Amino acid sequence: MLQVQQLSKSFPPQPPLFEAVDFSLQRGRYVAVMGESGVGKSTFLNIIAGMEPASSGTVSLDNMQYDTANKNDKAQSAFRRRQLGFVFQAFHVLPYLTVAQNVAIPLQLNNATSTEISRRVAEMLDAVGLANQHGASPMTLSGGQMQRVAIARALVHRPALVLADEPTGNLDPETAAQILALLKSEIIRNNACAILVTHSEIAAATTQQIYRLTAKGLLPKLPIKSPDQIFD
Amino acid sequence: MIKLIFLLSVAGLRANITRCIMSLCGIALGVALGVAVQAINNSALTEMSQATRTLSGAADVTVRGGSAGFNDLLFATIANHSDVAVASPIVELQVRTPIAPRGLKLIGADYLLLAQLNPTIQLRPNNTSDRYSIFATDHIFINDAARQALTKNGVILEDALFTGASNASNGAVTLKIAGAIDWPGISEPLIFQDIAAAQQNFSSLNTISRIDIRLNLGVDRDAFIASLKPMLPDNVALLSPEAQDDQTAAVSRAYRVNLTALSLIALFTGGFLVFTTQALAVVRRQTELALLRTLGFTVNQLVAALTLEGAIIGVVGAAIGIGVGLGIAQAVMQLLGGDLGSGFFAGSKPKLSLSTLSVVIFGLLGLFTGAAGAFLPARAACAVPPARGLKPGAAELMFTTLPSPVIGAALLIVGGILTQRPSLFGLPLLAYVGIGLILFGAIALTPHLCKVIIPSRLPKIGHFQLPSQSALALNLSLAQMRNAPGQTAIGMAGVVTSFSLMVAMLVMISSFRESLDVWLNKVLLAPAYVRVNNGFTEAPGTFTAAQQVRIAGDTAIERVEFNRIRSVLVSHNGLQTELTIIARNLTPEVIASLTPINRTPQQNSLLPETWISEATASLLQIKVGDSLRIQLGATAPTTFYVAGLWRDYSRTKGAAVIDRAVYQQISGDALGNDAAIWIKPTWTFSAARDHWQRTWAEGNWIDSKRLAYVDAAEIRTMSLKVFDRSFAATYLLQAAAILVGLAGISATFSALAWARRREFGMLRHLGMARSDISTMLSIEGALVGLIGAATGLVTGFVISLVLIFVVNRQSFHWSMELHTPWLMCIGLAALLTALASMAARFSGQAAMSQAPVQAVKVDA
Repeated sequence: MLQVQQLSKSFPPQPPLFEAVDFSLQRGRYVAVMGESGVGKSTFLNIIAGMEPASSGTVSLDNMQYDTANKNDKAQSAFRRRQLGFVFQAFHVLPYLTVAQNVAIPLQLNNATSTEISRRVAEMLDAVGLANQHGASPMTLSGGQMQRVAIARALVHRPALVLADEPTGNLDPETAAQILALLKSEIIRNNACAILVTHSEIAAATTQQIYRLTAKGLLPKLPIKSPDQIFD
Repeated sequence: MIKLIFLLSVAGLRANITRCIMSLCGIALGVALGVAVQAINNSALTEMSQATRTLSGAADVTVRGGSAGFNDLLFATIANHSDVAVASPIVELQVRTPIAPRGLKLIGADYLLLAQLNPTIQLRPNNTSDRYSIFATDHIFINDAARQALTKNGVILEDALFTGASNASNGAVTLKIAGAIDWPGISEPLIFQDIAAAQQNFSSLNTISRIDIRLNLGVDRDAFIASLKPMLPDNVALLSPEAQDDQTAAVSRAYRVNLTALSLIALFTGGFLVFTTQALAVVRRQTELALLRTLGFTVNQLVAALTLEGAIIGVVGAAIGIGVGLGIAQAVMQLLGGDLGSGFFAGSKPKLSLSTLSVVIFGLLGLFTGAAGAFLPARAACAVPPARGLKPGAAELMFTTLPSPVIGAALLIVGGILTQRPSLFGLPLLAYVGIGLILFGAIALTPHLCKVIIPSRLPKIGHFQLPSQSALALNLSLAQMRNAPGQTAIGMAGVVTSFSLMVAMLVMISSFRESLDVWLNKVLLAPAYVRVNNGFTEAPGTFTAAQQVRIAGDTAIERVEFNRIRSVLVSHNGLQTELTIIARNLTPEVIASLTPINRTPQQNSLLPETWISEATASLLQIKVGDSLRIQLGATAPTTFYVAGLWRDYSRTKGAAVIDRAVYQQISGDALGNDAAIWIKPTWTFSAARDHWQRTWAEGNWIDSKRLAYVDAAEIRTMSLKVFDRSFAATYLLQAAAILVGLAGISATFSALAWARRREFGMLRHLGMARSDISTMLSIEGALVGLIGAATGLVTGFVISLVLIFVVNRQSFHWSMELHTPWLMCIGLAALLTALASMAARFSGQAAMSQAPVQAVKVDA
């Protein structure tokens, strides 16, 4: 379970981006964070990921509190490689590795055995519909396929928390819908919890709960509309 | 449009100032070294050539003997020749005084004849001398430079004492400075004396060095030379002023060409640095270039702008290099003289001179290097379609394709063929071109080699398996290098270039040194040597027959061998060289010590035998089994059978060994120069030396003060010291080349880390610590260093073979055995790998300063 308490971020002398944010997320939950441009959505995500220091507050995952001051790079990296999965807008698939090698990176970082790596990579590629692209070069894939590789990579090591920052920003609506559905189903299937940061109402609508980040904190945005309702 | 292109170029330079400075330093270094070498050689050569011409005055032709001179009977024949207007006999010597131990040039001439050929020469007797002092035996006239040389503690010595004069009964002569001589165009110290006096004081009475001739008006010079040549003995040469210049230049030409080639190699490595930095600069500017293409710039305009940037760097680098090079030349000439300590122009302190043409050539070389270094990557960068170039990650895709391996293979083959061609104009020019092509071929093939030898995954070694996390870093490095070899190849090229040149020079120098050491051990058969120092002239002094007998009977001496060394002008096959004749007792032991390369016993004839050095064989185009005419006595030349070829590292103009008994029989000369002494076992060298110094000073049978006693081990140590000193400059060049190679790696990894910042950002998100990425970069740097060094090692070894077996033979006419300092080469390769790893780590870290959260953004 993710627990965020009294989390604040400011860049003095500017007014704080957000203050005293309290937020919790159970395993199996998938939520979206929306907000105006520049409100600090990505920064909020980065603080939770341990990639950026918080001004104050605490973050813990599965009752393990970690260093939001972001001083210990090794410890933060070890935490990320075990507990977190990321999906980026720009996919960030390494062009010089095969699809399977890309997916295997988090398992290798966690010192998994080669048997386990083979099994999990095959499972995940099968789950994202790329079983037949195992040895292919990412250069031969479409944008949607590359994001599937990224999703498989984000979940292959069974992280507790998946953070997705505008994962469909570079995709056409049809592919985006497929990717969002896949992401949701895989998060739930792997019993992870996930935060989706997006500007897209449609993307946000695929989650179980939408929050709006403001300077005063993270506020639930109700009621949630289905994608069909939004399109209508 | 041109204005816009210029604006873009200048803006590009300003925005990439650090890289520009690196490129600029590379070019400046190469140009500086080239200019320095060129200026030093040019200055020394100009000085020598000018001196030779000025001393000959307005002579149309000069008759010149070897350093031993020739009989002056020839003068009468020439002076009476109907085509000759003026003939001026000259005695030319190097003389020494205690306060000018390096020696001063003495010209002995008939002033009245000399003045006809050189009307600008003026003798100015001082107040205490009269006009007839010109002809006085004990009077000399000196120029300003000699005046300075003979000035001690600010006081000019009125009476200069020349000790050890061979013709003086007490071994010394005191000469009075009777006045000054103004000899325009001569800046070196010069002493003038009447020829008869000079002959009486310093050389044989009937020996002269040369005859300067002015022909009658209308006489065809070439026809005169052709008609006179058959009348001349073998030991004199008939030279036009142009031929004299050529001869002056030829003495050191090979040495100069080798140094110039070395400096061009430095320029080449500098050019590589430009290529590396420019190639990687365009990687960083890929988006900017795509945007400009989108705005309407054509490929050619962008290529022109980028090439102009390189050209500007080239011109500025060349300008700085020329200035620095002239400064280096000035400093080196002050410290070492015009010959960098090699002995080719010993004693000269020339004025710095560099022709405008040389300045222009080096300027153009800098410009070309800068422009070419920028042009190739510019073409590659601008060929990327703008739409692709604007997409994120475009930089990662640059230089991922490689030129065909056929090009590299073709360069290697053509290079190999060229190294097997004979010399051009007596110089190994084709071999140098071949070396360049081999180097280019190796560089072109290295990235293909990476693809072949780098495994796609870390290979399993038995049951050993790295923890998967460590294996990941290694696998990522392997995959990056295997699948994107173009980018790493740019950095690797610098390593291959610099390390191959370093290995080539190391192997060549080591082979030369080892061969010299072996040669010295064989040549220095005796444990001790005694030599007469001729305090008066440069020529070694001699032991008379009586002195030789007395020395042989010394209580400390078990055995003594005297040799006789003389210079003789020898002609063969229409070629001429001043051969050093070494007459020594040719015992089987001595013959073995000559390191005979081959020996053919005489079959039918009973000619006296001679063993010639490799240089002699090459210069006179003579081989074992041929016959060679050498004039040793006053009568007709003797025909010798060339019985063997031997290795001689000390006389580049050639040498021939003959048996001393044969020599004495032919020449009647029983004098000896060096005494090789085997000390009795009960004596040590120092005890024997003390004994000789004490006992030989008694009586008047020998001038013991002029004797030098040398331990053979000391000669060997000194020779190797001189060798090491003369190669010191090449070590500096090697260090500079390695620095350039490392700078190339640093530039490569700096740019690669920048291009791969998204990859690193993603890996950081996935849980790789900053230190893990640094480790990954270190591994990649080490791999680049290792493969570059391994390729450089092989290429350098091949180049060293060309240097040893082709360039050296064609330049200096001597051979050497191959000695490869493998341990040192492998140690240096390991050091280079470690340095490359560190350079990659630190330059990558600097480039990774961008936060990972920024790096993974779409517009990062």
